Amino acid sequence: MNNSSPGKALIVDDEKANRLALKSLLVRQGYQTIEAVNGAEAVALFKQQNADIVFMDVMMPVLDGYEATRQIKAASGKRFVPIIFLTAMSDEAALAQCIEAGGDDFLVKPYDKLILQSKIRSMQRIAALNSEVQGMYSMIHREQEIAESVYINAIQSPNIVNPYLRQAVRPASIFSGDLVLSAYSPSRDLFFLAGDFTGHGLLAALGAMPVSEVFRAMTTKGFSPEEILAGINKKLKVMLPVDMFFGAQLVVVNHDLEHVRVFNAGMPDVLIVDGANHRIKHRLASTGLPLGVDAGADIHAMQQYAPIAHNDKILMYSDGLIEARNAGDQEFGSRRLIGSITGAPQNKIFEQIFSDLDAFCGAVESQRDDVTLVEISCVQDVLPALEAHDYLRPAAHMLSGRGEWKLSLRFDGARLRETNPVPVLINYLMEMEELEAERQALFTVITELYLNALDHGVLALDSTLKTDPAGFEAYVQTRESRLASLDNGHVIFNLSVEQESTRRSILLRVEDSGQGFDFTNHVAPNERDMALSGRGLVLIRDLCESLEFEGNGNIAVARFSWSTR
Amino acid sequence: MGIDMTVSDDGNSVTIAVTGKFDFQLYDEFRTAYISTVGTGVSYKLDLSATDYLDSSAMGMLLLLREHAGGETADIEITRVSPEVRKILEVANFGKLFKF
Repeated sequence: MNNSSPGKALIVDDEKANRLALKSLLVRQGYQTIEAVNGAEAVALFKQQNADIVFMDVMMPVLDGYEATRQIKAASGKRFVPIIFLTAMSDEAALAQCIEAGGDDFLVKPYDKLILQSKIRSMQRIAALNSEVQGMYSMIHREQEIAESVYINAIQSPNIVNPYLRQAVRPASIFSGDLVLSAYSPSRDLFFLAGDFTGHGLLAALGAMPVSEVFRAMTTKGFSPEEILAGINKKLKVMLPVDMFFGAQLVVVNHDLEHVRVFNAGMPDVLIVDGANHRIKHRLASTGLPLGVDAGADIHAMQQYAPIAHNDKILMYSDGLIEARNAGDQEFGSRRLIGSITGAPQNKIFEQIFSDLDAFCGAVESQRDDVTLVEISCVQDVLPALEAHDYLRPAAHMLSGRGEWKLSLRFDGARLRETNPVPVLINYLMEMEELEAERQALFTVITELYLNALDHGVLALDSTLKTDPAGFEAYVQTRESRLASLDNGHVIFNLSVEQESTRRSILLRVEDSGQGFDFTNHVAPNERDMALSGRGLVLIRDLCESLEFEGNGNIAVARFSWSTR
Repeated sequence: MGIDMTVSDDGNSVTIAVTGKFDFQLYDEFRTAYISTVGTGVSYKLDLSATDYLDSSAMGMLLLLREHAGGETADIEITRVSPEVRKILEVANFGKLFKF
């Protein structure tokens, strides 16, 4: 239909006089007309030439008006083509049948021209409204498609793909209010965030973007889980309306595969399941408000620890799983969930939960809430491979005219409590040097040097405590309480970057205010004395050219070098 | 089903009772109810004895009421909570924001 003409009208009548009378009326209104003498011809003509409005007689040879109307309505699909019946029959049943067959209105012959004109105008209004709705519908549909692809690219694609990480999000609408994010930290810890926004659909998905950005940026830069969650919490508090919030579970699987840290803010319990007998070893309940509610929330206080063993399964799920209902309005519930876990064949917990859930819900209507389930297997392969530090590998890009430089940083008492200097140092080094390929190794070295200085130096913690798995909890608690009341002591970083022919190196000198230790008697290079030096120092030795101690053992000096050609 | 609000003569104490499912369908009704009250300084009681279910949008409404009632200084008590509803509020640690 264009602006100059209301369009094309199809006149269907077996009597020529009727067709002519109607034609002259329609032409005066600006219609272009086409004519058919029976229902079959009308359907054929409509399919061939299309029409914007149809005037239909009822009683005709070959095919009557009712059947022709059904076929034309079917052929016009989503487009609204009004059909007005013009009939000599006036009994109520026959007129009702007109509407039944798909007609939009009817008029009894002989008709009043004025009434017919107003019916046409009314149909034009309905048709205009209809095309407007169609247009809006297809625009919304298109926008949802685009938004969905942005959502997948921005939020889902960067997630870790690994056979030991199973995850499923079954959204209740196109966009889920549930969110699953995973990334590795530079020290090879696995960070897994599962969360649930209030509601679902586009509105809930909107909040997922900033969460995903903050999570990835901060995790890959090496920030601590507390810092990451505090960052997300602050951002959401500013962004979201008061009644929207984000329940979140953050699980951090330490690269030693000996313990996990869990932060649970308003979500169901995180479960740690024994991989062999499927016993629930730990339940880590919610210990904090959902994120986006209180800008000053104490994230640190939410932290929980649990030891893990080889092939333990960590399960995270949203309330949509336990609150899923069957046709009898019963909940799947946590008892059935535990039944699925304990009854599952080995390494098939994930599959078992979903098959039990589907069997329970049956062919039930539409799912009321988003359902998320995550299973992490605590095996070496769930972590990224530790890249061999290849001294001979040339740097990806070469900078010419590399100078030497030095950096000195000192952190005192209270500052150590609040600041994690490692990401800052690493990012500074990354900007100054072409170190992308060595980033992971360097991060590990600086982290271990720093932790060694802080834990065993400033905080005077006994590392032998950690070697006993039961002592780990005690170690962590002592560390936290000493850190919380720390107001003296210091850690000093002295970095100097040097060049010698084609090799470049960083001399890292980390000094703490602690007592030191008797390094001359115990630590010989290459000796893996786990009990004394701890795994941290062994790692540093592996990754660095050299590691030595000075002073009374309170100064560690490591040389990390790489080739520039 | 729905919201039933009673306000004391001096306007200083308000009781809001929620019957049936407390979810997004009650959003307008709940908002219309509390918005007519003074907010800051008023002592609110939320009677959930006849509430059989509470979802996250209902928790969102509780946060809106808290904001209206003065945020940090809000005086809101959630009373007569069923064990199921209590569990939901506890998982979200709403005890840090409301008395119940």
